[in-house]
Amino acid sequence: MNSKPWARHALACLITCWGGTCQADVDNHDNSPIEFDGSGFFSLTAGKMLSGTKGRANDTECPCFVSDYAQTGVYTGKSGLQWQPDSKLGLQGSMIFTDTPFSLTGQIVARGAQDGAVNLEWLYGNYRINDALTLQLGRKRLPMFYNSDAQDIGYALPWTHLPPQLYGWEAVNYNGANLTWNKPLDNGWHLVANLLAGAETVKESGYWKIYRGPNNRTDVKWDAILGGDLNFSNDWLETRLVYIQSKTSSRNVTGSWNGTTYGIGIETDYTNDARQQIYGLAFNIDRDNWLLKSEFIHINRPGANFRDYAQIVAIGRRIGKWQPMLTWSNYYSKPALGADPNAQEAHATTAFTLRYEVDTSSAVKIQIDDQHDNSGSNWSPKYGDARLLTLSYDRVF
Amino acid sequence: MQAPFTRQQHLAIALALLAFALLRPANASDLVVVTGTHNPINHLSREQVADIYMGRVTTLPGGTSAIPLDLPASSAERETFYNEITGKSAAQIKAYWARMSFTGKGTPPKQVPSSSDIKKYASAKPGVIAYLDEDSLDGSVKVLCTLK
Repeated sequence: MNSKPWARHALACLITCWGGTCQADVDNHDNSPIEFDGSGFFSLTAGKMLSGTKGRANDTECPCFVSDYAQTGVYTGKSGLQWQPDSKLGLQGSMIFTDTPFSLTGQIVARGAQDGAVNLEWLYGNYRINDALTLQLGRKRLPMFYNSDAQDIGYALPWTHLPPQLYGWEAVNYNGANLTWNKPLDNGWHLVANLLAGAETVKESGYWKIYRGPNNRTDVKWDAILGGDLNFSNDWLETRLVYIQSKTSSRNVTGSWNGTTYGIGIETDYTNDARQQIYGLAFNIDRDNWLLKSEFIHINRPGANFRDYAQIVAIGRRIGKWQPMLTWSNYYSKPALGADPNAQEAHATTAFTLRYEVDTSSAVKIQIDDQHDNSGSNWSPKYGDARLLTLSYDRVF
Repeated sequence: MQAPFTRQQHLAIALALLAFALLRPANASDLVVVTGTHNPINHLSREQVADIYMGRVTTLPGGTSAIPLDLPASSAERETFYNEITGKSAAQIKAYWARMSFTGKGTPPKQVPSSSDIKKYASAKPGVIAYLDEDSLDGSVKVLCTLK
């Protein structure tokens, strides 16, 4: 994610206040016009490739397991433990203007997948219009998926990494505005509706490095982002509908891996805008310590040769401090406009996760992913099958 | 007419009652939700308390901004309180707030060290609500809801 100097400066102020005496407590309510709050999270995740399709795919030694498309988090065929793809550290600072409806929040995240580079993930002003309506302006997460907002908070997730078949797309944040309407209904039901508008530019997209090689540089623009999501929930059931549309364009600057070398890159203009529509549905249950998670997404780019579809279904059980979960995730692209059906990308993963609640701020998880590459014979890059073991320690503070 | 219980059954019931009385924790008093005496509201339902503590509602009836307070994570009252109003454990609540607070959807209740701090802040700040063991009540706060 690219971040602006002014944004880094503003966040530095927040983080400065984060360290030390600014931890929020009720004392700050008494007289201070500004209350500071600091918090953070980290995930320390180690992975070991157990088996899979050997070979060199897209300038990478395989077996390969892509755990995070947007950040180029890839477990490769090298021996030993791999710490980089899913380890991360995040810090969040907030300034709350006491007795006013305004607050300012920023969050930076350093990821192993990006060699520890610090990125600005969130920086937004919050204006509470009334008890039901909240307006936020700034940089936020694009809410394509149920777990988009919380995708970095390992402690809040049941997995060592999100199911990559579903949670993998080229943009994850946006700059703009969103308006949230929060309405408690009768009998314990709640309705939350969220409208958003904005734009995003991703320099050197991590997503396209997966498809064009680790040294590729592709810049991506999403303009005229418009959309919203609707959440309807009670104590044990949560349903979510999402629709987002935008214009997209990109430029391939440093060329793609062609099997031998990267093509010669020339910094060109962005391609003409193309339209895309994103449709999502999630249906989750948490009742009597049984957990069911399901989510579906369809991404339609009318001018593209393939349409994207992805699903997950997971079932788990909370047994004291333990939580086993079985997850199936699937992605496939469907040919359109006369595209070659054998050039279809498709893969599926079955994962078993065991989570242990160490205390009320940390958890340990162990997960085995069994990925099958179901892509067509003409699809490239073909990463193949992979069986991966990951172990994580997640903490919030 | 046949006696409803035999002598042995009477003895068994008496022993069971004695065991219950002995095993019941000495501090099994009710948990109450309180606010300052100057606050005009006199009652909150369990659902209203849950909505405020889960960040779904940010004002009290009448429009005052709600300031929910938590006791420390290690306190038995906190575990009991969340179990009573949400059916979730303290760890589940922590995970819920991790998700909410890092994603711009709300901030968790402020934490205070003890029941006496709760009473102090409830007296000083309009909008404060908190939970207490009934035995800790005094004239500085009033009860909005009894939980157990």
